[in-house]
This record gives sequence, C-alpha cells and structure tokens, in this order.
Amino acid sequence: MNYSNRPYQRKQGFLSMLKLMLFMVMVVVGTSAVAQGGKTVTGTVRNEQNEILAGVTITVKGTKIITTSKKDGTFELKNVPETAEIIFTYVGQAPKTIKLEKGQSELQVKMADAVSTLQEVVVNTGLYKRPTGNFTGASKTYSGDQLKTVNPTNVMSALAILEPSVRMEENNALGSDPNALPILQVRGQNNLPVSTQGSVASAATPVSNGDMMSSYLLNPNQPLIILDGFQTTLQTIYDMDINRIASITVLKDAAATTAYGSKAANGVIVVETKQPTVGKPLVSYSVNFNFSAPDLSSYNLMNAEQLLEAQRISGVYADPTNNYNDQALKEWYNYRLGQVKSGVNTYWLAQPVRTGVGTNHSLSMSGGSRAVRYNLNMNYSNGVGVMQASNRANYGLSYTLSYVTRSVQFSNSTSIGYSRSNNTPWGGFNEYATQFPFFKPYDSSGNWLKVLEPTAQELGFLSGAPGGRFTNAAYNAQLAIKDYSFYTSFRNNTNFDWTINNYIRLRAGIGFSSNNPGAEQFFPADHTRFVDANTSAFTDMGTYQQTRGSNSAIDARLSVDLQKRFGKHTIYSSIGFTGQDAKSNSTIIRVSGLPNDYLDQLGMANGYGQSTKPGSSDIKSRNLSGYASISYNYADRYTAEVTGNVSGSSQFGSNNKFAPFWSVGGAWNLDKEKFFAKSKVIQQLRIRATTGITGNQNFAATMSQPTYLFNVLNNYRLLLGATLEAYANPNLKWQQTLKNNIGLTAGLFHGKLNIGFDYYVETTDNLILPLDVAPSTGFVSYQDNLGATRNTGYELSLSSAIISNREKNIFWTLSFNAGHYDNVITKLSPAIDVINKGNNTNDVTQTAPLPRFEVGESMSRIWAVKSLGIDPATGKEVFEKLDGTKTFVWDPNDKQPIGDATATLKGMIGSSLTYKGFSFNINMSYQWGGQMYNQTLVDKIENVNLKQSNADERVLTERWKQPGDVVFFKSLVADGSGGLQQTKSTSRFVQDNNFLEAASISVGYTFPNNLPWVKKLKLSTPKLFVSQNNLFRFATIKTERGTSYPFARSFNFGLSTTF
Amino acid sequence: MRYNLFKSQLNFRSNRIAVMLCIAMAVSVSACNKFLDVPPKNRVPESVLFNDEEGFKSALMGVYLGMDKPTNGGVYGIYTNNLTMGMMSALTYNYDNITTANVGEGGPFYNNVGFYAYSDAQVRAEFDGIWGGLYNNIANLNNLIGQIDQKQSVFSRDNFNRVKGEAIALRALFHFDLLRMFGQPPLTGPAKKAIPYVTQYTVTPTPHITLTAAMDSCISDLLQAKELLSHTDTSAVFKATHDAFTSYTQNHLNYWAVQALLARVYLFKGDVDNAALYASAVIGSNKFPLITSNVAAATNTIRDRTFSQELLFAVYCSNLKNYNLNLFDKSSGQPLRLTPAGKDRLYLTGSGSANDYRYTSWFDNNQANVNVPSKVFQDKNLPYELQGNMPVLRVSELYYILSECANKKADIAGGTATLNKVRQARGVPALVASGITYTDSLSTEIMREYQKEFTQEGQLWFYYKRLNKNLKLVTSTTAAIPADVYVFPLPDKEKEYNN
Repeated sequence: MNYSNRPYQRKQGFLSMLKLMLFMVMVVVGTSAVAQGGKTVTGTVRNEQNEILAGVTITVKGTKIITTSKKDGTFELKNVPETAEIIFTYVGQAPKTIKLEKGQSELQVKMADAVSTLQEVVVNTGLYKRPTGNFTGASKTYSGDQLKTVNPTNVMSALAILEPSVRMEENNALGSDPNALPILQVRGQNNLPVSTQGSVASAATPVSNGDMMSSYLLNPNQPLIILDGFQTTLQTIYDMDINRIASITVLKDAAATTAYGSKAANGVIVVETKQPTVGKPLVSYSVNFNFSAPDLSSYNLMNAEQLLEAQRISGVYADPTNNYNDQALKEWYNYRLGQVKSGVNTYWLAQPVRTGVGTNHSLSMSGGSRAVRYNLNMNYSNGVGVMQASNRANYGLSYTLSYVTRSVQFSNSTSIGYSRSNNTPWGGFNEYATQFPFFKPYDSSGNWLKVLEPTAQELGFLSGAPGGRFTNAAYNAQLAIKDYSFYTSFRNNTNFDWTINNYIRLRAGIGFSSNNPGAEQFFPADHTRFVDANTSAFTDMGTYQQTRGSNSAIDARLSVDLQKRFGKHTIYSSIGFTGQDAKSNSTIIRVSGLPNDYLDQLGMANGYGQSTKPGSSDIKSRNLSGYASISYNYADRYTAEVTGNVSGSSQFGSNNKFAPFWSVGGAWNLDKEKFFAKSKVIQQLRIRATTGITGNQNFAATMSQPTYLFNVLNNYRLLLGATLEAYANPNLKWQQTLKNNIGLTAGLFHGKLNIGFDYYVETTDNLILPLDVAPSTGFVSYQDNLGATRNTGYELSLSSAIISNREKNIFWTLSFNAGHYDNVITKLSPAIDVINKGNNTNDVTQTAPLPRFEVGESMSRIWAVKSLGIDPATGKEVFEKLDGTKTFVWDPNDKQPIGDATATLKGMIGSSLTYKGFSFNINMSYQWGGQMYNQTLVDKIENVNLKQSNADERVLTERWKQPGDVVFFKSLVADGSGGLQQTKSTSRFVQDNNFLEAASISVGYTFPNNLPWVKKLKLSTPKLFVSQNNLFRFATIKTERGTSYPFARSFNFGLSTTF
Repeated sequence: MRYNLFKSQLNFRSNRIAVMLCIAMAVSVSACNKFLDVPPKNRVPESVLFNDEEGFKSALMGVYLGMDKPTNGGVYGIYTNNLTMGMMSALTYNYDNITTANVGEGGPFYNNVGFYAYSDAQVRAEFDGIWGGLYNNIANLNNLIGQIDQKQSVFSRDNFNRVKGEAIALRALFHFDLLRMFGQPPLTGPAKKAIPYVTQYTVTPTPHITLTAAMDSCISDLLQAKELLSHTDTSAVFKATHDAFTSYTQNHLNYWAVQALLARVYLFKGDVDNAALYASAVIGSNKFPLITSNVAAATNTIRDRTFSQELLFAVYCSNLKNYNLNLFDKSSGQPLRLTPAGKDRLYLTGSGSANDYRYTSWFDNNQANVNVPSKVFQDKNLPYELQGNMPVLRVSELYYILSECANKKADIAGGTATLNKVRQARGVPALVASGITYTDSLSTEIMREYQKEFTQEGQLWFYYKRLNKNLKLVTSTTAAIPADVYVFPLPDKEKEYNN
C-alpha cells in the first residue's frame, strides 16, 4: 500500500516497463527442461455426456508433472512413475483420481459433473490462462448453463444475481422495456457522474450501442467486456444467444486485471463462447418460450368521478381572482360532470397492452475429426414487449472452424447478426396512464377519436378547456407509422496458436467487428402530434427521420506464453501486445411535409422543414497495450505474481501518450503446510493478497488535445470560422485506481462447505474534474486530474453440498453470498462547488433529489430537506432547518444527507436440488441497509398535474383534506396552482430499501435416454424446464411502478435436447 | 548430454523469439505515438488546422463570428446586440420606453438595464458573457498569433500580413472595449486597475493593469497591426472579388479601420494630437466618403440605412435580421422603441431639422404598425453586401474626433467647420459659425451629433463615459443613477481566481 501518487514521467515509466518486460523474457527463456525417468501415459478425457473435455488439468500426485488436455481431449504425460495416482481437475467437474496399474499406459477417463460449486482450476483472464495455483487475483467464473438456469433470457441480470460484486442499476420508470440496456458496475462506481460528461461529439446519437467508444463513454463506470479475447460492447452480450456462452469470468482485483492496463479500473467481464468438439456431429436444439403479461396491479388510478372531484378540490375549475374565467371554468366542470354522470369511465390502461409470447430458438451442431472441427450455431429470438406491437427480434448465425495439428491450432469464427426493435405505434404508456377517464376513446359509431373533447367554440363556452386540447394516442395506432431501429453485426475472429514445445506457446489473433445500426421514424400528418399545426404550413406536417451508423473495430493481439516446472518450482509467464483501431460514424436526416401515410419514404417529403439540419458524427480511437505477467510457485505452497502493462491511447493528452500500470500479488496455500495437513475441519485453505494500479480511459479525447470546432451554422461573408473548443490540457492523464485485495478460500469438512472471502480497498486518483479559471483566460474551466475516491468492500460466498449421494442420485446444495462496499469521495476540485451550488437553488427542478458531492461523503448519498411530517392543522409539510427550527418553507440550503442509495449488503441465497432427472433451483436476492428516494410514489401522489393528467387514487383518499387529518401525504387543496403541485426533495420519501425476492425459480426434468419415445426419436438427454423471475418479494418499500413502460410478469418454458 | 543439448536448443529457439519480439517492440514503439494520434473528423486538431493558410483564415473567421456569439458568451450577441443596438443603446435611452415592464426580448432584461440594475442576475449574466466571450475571442487570437510566425511559409500573396495584422488589431479592439466597459472613466481613474491585457494563450491568469497601461498596450498592438496591414493591398475598398478572403474589406478590421481605431483610442486617452493625426489620415484617404443624397428616398426594402459607404468596419452577422425582429417586431409585448415625442426632441429641437436623413430614414413601422428604430434592419431584398452589417467604426466619428480635437485647442471655427461637413451630409443646415463662440457650445453640438448619429450603435455610451457626463442630465431618465454607473462589475469568478 506504499505507493507514490506523484505523476509518472512518461519516458521513465515506459522505459522501466520495457526493461521489466525484457527481464521477464530473459527469466523465462533462462529456465530449462528437466528430464526424469518413468513411463509415458496417454489418454482422452470426456464428461458424463461423453463430450470431449479440453483444458483439464492433469497432475501426477506427489510429483510436479502437470499437463492439460488438448482441444481434442487427449493428453500425454511423460516420466510417470509406474503406479502413480493421476489427478484430473476441470471446471464444473468433480475432481477424479485414477491409480495406474502396472504397465498401464493408456487411460479413457470419464469425469462426473460437479454438483457442488465450481472448482475453478484454470482462470481465463481473456489474455492468458493460468491454473488457480499460479494465480493470485480475485476472480469468479460462472458457466453458461449455470447462468441460463437463473435467467434464460438475460445473461447480465443472471450474473448480477449470482455475483455479489456485480450490481445492476434499478430503473423503475423504464419497466420491462425489451429495448432498454442495463447499467452495470463491478465493485461500485469510482467516477463522479460529472467528471467525464465533457464533450462527446455526436450530432447524431447512435441508435445502437454497438459503438465501442460511446458505449463506454456513456457509462464511465462500466466494466470492460471481453468476448473471446477481444473487447466488445454490452449490447453485443445482451443480444447474444445465451446457449453459445461457455462461461463468464468476472475479474476484480489488480492482479487479475492489470494486464488490461488503462481499461481495467472498472473490472473486467470475460465471456467465452463454446468451442467445437471432436466426434460425430452433435446437434442440439433448445427452445424457450417467454410468456409475459402486463402487470397493471400497481396502478390504482382514479376513476372518472374521483378525478373530477380531485380536480375540483385542487382548484382546476375555479378562478377566485377573475369572475369571467371562473364562469368559463365552471362551464367545463359542468360539461365534464355531465360526461361522468352519463357513465363515461374509460380504463385507458388496458388499451395499449397485450400478453406477449416471446420465443428463442437455438440450434447448434458441432463435430469433426481430430484435425478439422466445426461448430455451427443458429438462433432466432423474439422478445415481445407487453405494449402492443413492440418487440425486439434477433437473428444470429455463427460458425467456427478449427484446424488442429500436433503443434498448431488455427481457428476462425464468424458470426453475423441482425436485430430489429419495433417501438409501439401506440405511443408512450404514460399517455394512457395520465389520460382522463371521463373521455370516451371512440365516437358513437366505434371509430377512434383523434381529439377527445369538443372545442369551446363547438360547445359555445367562454374559453378553452382547462389543460388545453387532449388528443388520443390510440388514434395513431391505426396509422401507418414507422418507428423502429435495427442493426446488422458482423464479427470475425481468427486465432493462431502454435505450441512451439512443451514450454512455449505463441498465440496470435486478429478480430474484426462491425455494427451498422439504423433507425426509421415516420409520423404522417394525421398523427396527433401535428394536431395543433392544422393552420400552419402544410410543409411542416408529417415528419420522417432516418438514422444510419457504422461502427467497426479491428483488434489484434500477439502473445507468448511460457510454462515451466522444475523441481518444486513452477513458472507461468505471458508476454503480449494488443492493439485496437475503432471507428464509428453516423448520419441523421430529418425531413417534413409528408401529408399522406402512404408516402412513407424519405424522398416523398416536401422539404427539410423549419429547423432541421442533417447531423453526422465521426469518431476514431486507437489503443495499444503491452503486458507481461509472470507467476512463480514454490512447492504448491507459495505463489508470487507480477504483472506490468504499458497502455497508450489516442485519448490521452499529448504529453502523456503512454501509461504504465503494474500489480504484485502473493498467495499461500496453508493447507499444504505440514502443520496443517491432518486437520479434520479444514482441508483447503489459501490466502491471497494483491496490490496494483489500473486505469480508466473512459473520457473524451478532446479534453486533452487542442481542437478547433467549425461553426457550420453561420458564415462570415462566405467564409467558415473555427474556434478552439476548450482549453485542452496537454498534461491530462488516465485516471488510475490503486486496487488492494486480500482474499481467502477455504474448504471445510471434506468439501461439504466452501468459503470464499475477499476484502478490498480501491483508491481512484487523478479523477478528471473541471478546474475553474479566471474568465479572462478565455475559458471558464478546463479538465484536470483533481479528484479522488475510495471504495472499500468485501465479498463473501459460502456453498455447501448438504446431500451428495451418487448412488441414490440425490444432490442438494445451498449457497449464500454477500457483497458490501462503501464509497467515499476523498478529494474534489473547487469547481464541484459550483455544481453543488447550482443544485441548491430554486431555479432548477427540485422534485427529485439532486446530487451533491462533498469530500467525506459517498457519491450515492441522498440529499434532502429533513421533514417532520404533515401538520395535521394545515396539511402543510413541516421542515426542519439546519439550525433545528421548524418552518413551512422549503429551502434548498436546508438539505442534509438523509440516506444512501448504495445498499450496505447485497447478495443472494440459492438452493439447488436434483433428484434423478428432476432439478429444482431457487435464487433469492436480498438487499439490506440502503435507502431509496421513492420517486414514483411522490410523483404519482404529490407531484401531480391534475389539470393535465390523471393520478393515483391515493391523491383523493390519502392526502390531507381537513384539519385534524393525520396523514402521510400533504394537502390536496386549491392553492392557486390550478392542480399543479410540486413536492421538493424531502426526507419524507427517503425510505429504507431492504428486500428479499425470489429472483428466479426454475424446475427442470431430464428424460432418461432409455425411454421408448426418446429412443424412437433418437434424442439424447431431452430436457424440459420452467422458470419464473420475480415470483414474490418481501420489501420495506412498496415498489411503485413508473409510467414510461409497464412492468411485465413473465415466465419461461424451455425445452432442449441433443440428437 | 542429451539433456544439455536439448537445453541449448530450447534456449536458442526461445532466444530467437525473444529477439524477434524485442525488435517488433522497438519498431512499434517509435510508430506507436503516430498510431495513437487520431484526429476526430468533425473537429480539427490544432496541429492540422495550422498546417495551411486556409486553417489560419478559418481561425481568424472564427473570431469574427465570435464577435456575434463566442464560446462563454451571454444570451445575446456581443457586437451584434449588447454592445450596439441592445444593452448599450438601452443604457443611453436610445429607446425611451425601457422603463415599461417586459419591453424588448428576454423578459425584464431591458427594463433592468434601463434602471441600471447591474446586480440583477440576467444583467450580470450578460456582463459576464461579454467579459468571458471577448476574452475567449482573445484566447483564440493569441493562439493564432502565437503560431503564425513559424508558419509564415504556408501563406501566399499578402495573406500573412492580413491574417496577423487583423488578428493583432482585433485583440486591441476587444481589449479596448473591455477597458471602456469595465475600467474607470478616463478622467477619474487612469491609474486605477482596469483589465488584464492578455497576449499569451494560457490558463494562467494575467494580472490586471491600469487603464493607462491597458490603453498603451492597445496603441502598441494597433501600431503593429497598422504596420503589418500597410503591406497589404490598400488600393481600394473591395466588395465581392474572386477571392472571398479579400472581398468585403469593410467587414474586416482593415488598414483604415485600424487607424480610425487608433484615433478613437488616442482620444479616449486624451492625446488629441495623435487622435487628430489618425482621424485626418483616414478622412484624407477619401476611401470612405460621406453620403451625399437622402437614402430615405429609396423604398423601405432597399434602403441603405447604415450609409454603408461610410463604414470603416462593420461586423457581419447572418442573423442580424432576426435579432432586429426579436427586439423591434415582437409578436407580443412591447418592442423597444423611441416614441414620436422622443424622436422629435432628438432630431428637431435646437439645431436640428426635420430634413435630417437620419430622422427620415432610421425609423419605420413594424408589422404591428408601431414606429420603431430600423437603422440596422437589413431586409433580404437589399443587395448582399448591404445585408448583415452591424457598424463598429464609421467615418463620421472621425469628423467628430477632429472637431473635438480642434475645439480642445480652441480652434472653434475649425471645429465647427468639420462638424458642419457631417451635418450637411445628413441634410441638416450648417451651424452658423458666428453662433458658436464658446468651446462649451461646440461641445454641446458635438454631443448632440453623437446622440443623433450613433443611435443603436452603442458609441454614445462611451462618449458619455469618456467625458464623465451626468447621465441624469443627458438621458433625462427618471431612474436613480448609481455612483459607479460607468463601471460594469467584474465577473465573480474573475475576482475569485485573478486577484
């Protein structure tokens, strides 16, 4: 922990890294082969399903002889003693020990599936693989099947349930929108939300997050995502067929991530896809049906009568200051009362929703000879939203071909995809949630109404209706609207793997990926959005917007891995280089004047309308990175690991193009010590400690490079002008995070109980923040490395195989995990005060708590004015000022830290039971110790605009109405605001956010292969399963659902089999 | 033995790989920096921009465009609004209805300006915007000036002198206007700290210097600019030519405009000899003759209201028409206007005349049939070169300067004769020399000329400030005048970060 935070001097840093790498090359080269006597043993390893297992670690007990099975499952051990015991270990399989007979030199090994937790034997960092014995970092691997059991449609949400360090931001407003991407974090956030907002150039917002740079810039806390060795976007993983995923590894601490250098500070998620297997063609098919129905139970909206009454009480129909207006409003009241009395009471919510059935078909074929193997995967999925006609369809095709000889493996995999998401023509769900129930949706002959109320003129009233003209969003559903986005993606990875000899392996790879998004949005002139433009220019009615983009990235990597064992010493080493060149561009064109919905083409437009100008963006970035990592193990007891990295990025300042990173780690297997050997309680105990520095480069390049921006909207006498965009700081550096981690792994009671524990302190320095300067310099501020934050936390996981009876075929495991982290800001720039001050005025909307950043506080702190509740005498809220006095007046300067949105503890409790062919899994998520500002509650009941929109029933039933009412919600009275009332951030709505929910429950059955129909259909292990997410929930806070998109209740029914 | 052999073989092979890797690494390291230099397309890195003449021109044009709306500016354009027909004109009551609420655009802004409410948030924001915006332009100029000398070879013809000369002149213009706004009046505070005179591109603040020192810096910059620009083509004042950059001389801070500016600065400083020297130099060039006929005779839509041949420097802005519409042709609420009574008082009383071309051609009815000032309203039916011009320097001011200098030297007759040249060119009878016998009476006539001539151009405010006039008397405002009304408050951030 003794590190210096002085700025690195680029040249020195880089040179020393270079020296370090050279040193490592020499160290490894200097090691040599050690020959011993004995026989040679060969064989093949398979699993219970008779599938080839590659990468199985095979050791000869009592010696240091170790190897791994090759891609075809074969292995070869040299110099094996005559009657040695050979141990086979592999991810997801129970370890197996075989004692050699005399003269036996060939083995056909079948490994059993591990029913207890995964015994990770090899860690894949995406850049290199290393046996856990030689690895000191904190990481965790989950198999694809494990994730699929938890959530068969959303792999990231499954990961967030299983892994305590991964957190997914909740979004109550967006509900179950199939087209919304989640926001991910590993071990908390270490960036201020303001720090990287800077200037991301995008005249046209890319419609798909296939854009590598903007997807990372959008969420500076997003972990790096690696797919088969190359960087990718969250979108790619989100749209990928879950059946293709072999495993996902989460890399957390410095030792695990330093090799990624300046991209590693937020952690790394490594996704590996399934590789082709040897043998006759194995075809597997899996189908999943996802039934989802809208959950409207949390919407208790007022009916027609209640709404009219609430409007009357809040003064929508009265104007005490002006008799004329008062009379006019009374006319409208009486008209609407007439509607209510005639029985109009429309349940608007039911109009735009449906019960959807989504499907996911996945077909794959794999096989081949020893030399040539292939793998073909096709999938089609259609995620159906509960809003009418909204869906997201993905088509994917991928193909892997590999050619294997004794020393060379060459493989190429290609995948192409097409995705299309349709937005509902019915408009936003909120347009229905807020619609007045005393409006009829159709006229007397059953046609949809476009405008819901006659005009004042038609009715002969004195003035227009309160709230203005109301249009019917459902009317648009019958128009030929276009509103969809799509993308095509292409990815080709070529890998070359040359095993030069038993100790040196050279690997090279090149990857190309492209993603071409587009979007079309056409609203014909008859759309309700143009209803007010009736009298204006014909050329403005009807709009068409087209967006096109193109993103591509080329990645290349080259690495040399060395592994060597001599005597009690084992050395693993890897040196490699990666480079990336990414481009993205987009164009957006908007035209108007398309009167007829038949004319749904860009070229049919009358012109460009009033305010439109085409937009385009073009961004490029390049990265280079070199790493060297060496780990040394002595006698299976002590491990030391050193990793260095030098990263260069086009985003860095011109004075700091290259950044050095490093990490050091050590591990001690206590169980291998003599004093520990005979313990009855603990059989396995390993402690690890690592420290190191990683970086974060998710910031805009223009902060560090002086750039001129052309003013294309104006000219100076036919000449274009360019001005400096900002003061570019040539000394700007990557943000760096010092990660310290202490970990412990223990196995108790002969595998009955496994414990994993990690404690970490991550200090982020050089946080990029704006620094204010005197405006006479020409600038208001510039970006500099000024801030610092610290995250402290721990993760604990326990798993226990309670029943493990192979004879009766019963397995029952329980698992539990918990994650905690504390965030604290340790340094800020004075410019942040300006942001804080800006958030502390009445000029900005205060209906939601605004962020405030203070040294010593966490970033997720909720700041609100302390409330003493509702005064029963007046119905007004009583606030406590900072000095303790009481007041009715809300003052932004009285805000104080009330709660923290980050939960103290978050985790899961899981249970998995299999009996013969049956399996039953339940995963319960829990969270404890955090708070939440119940925004949806306050928005639905107090921040209501009754003049314009309907609201929750509780507006009428639970708000204060007369003196003596002791209630939670403030008064509903005519306060002169005409039905528009605003509650500003108050501690009243800061609630404890503790919950326990059944995140996923699944039941499966695998048919035995000896069933007649299975035999007849030539199936192999057909499997059927049913799962449900969010079945029940116990919580201290009632989840109020937002109105942008309805939440869905859904359950999955899946079937899979191989042929 | 076998073992040893194997070992050496292995070493040889591994060494070869290591050597290859090292070479690859060494090669790539040198190429790395280049590989990582990736310019984004829709913005141009400085190093690329300053690679050719076109880039330098673009950077200069960026500053001319920044005279309208620079980065860090306020809501309204600087030279196209606040410093001319907007705030400055409101301060001098060129619009006599500003004491009514919600006049002009932007809510109570002009109303607050009319009451000299400098602490109002919106007014403060505009002051801060002027300060930040002009210094942003200066930073852009300094970056250009700092790099142009090394790149002299990329320029053709006289363009190096043009770009550098105009850039240095613009730097002086902005500093001069800053010191005229944020500094003390020259009569009372020449030795008081005024503004920073910034000549380096850096985020390290430059200390504030005295008014006199700042004016001297302006003069020194202007003299350098004049020298540079004297090496450019000064044979004529061009309209459209084959080359867009040398076209429209009057929209560039040209050779003559720089001299006119020198005259203005010297007079502000009180150096009448030099002021007269440069004023007469420009007048003597005969490139900017006074108008001779009444432009009011032309129909409304094609009327040359700015008397364009008299303009030494006008900033071009393609949005000028809209700015005018926002202020004077509001669809709701009150447009800024000079009431008929106010108009008559200004142009008809005293030595005025109903025949004054300014009286007859600078006011028109807007679409709501309200009579409003229209001096800088330039309709799209006008010839292209007459559109979008906001006057910054006009030749009549040089006559006034000459007249004032003569008056200072007690040459009342000479001063009166010079003033009469402008009066006669405006269709107003000449002052009878025998009627002007005192310095004060000539001064009064000069002031009345400033009032009539510079309506909507903002120079009247600086005239009042230069002579420390009693605002209450000259504007007949009912508003209370704060003691330091002539000194605009510095931005808070400036006080905080540049003490």
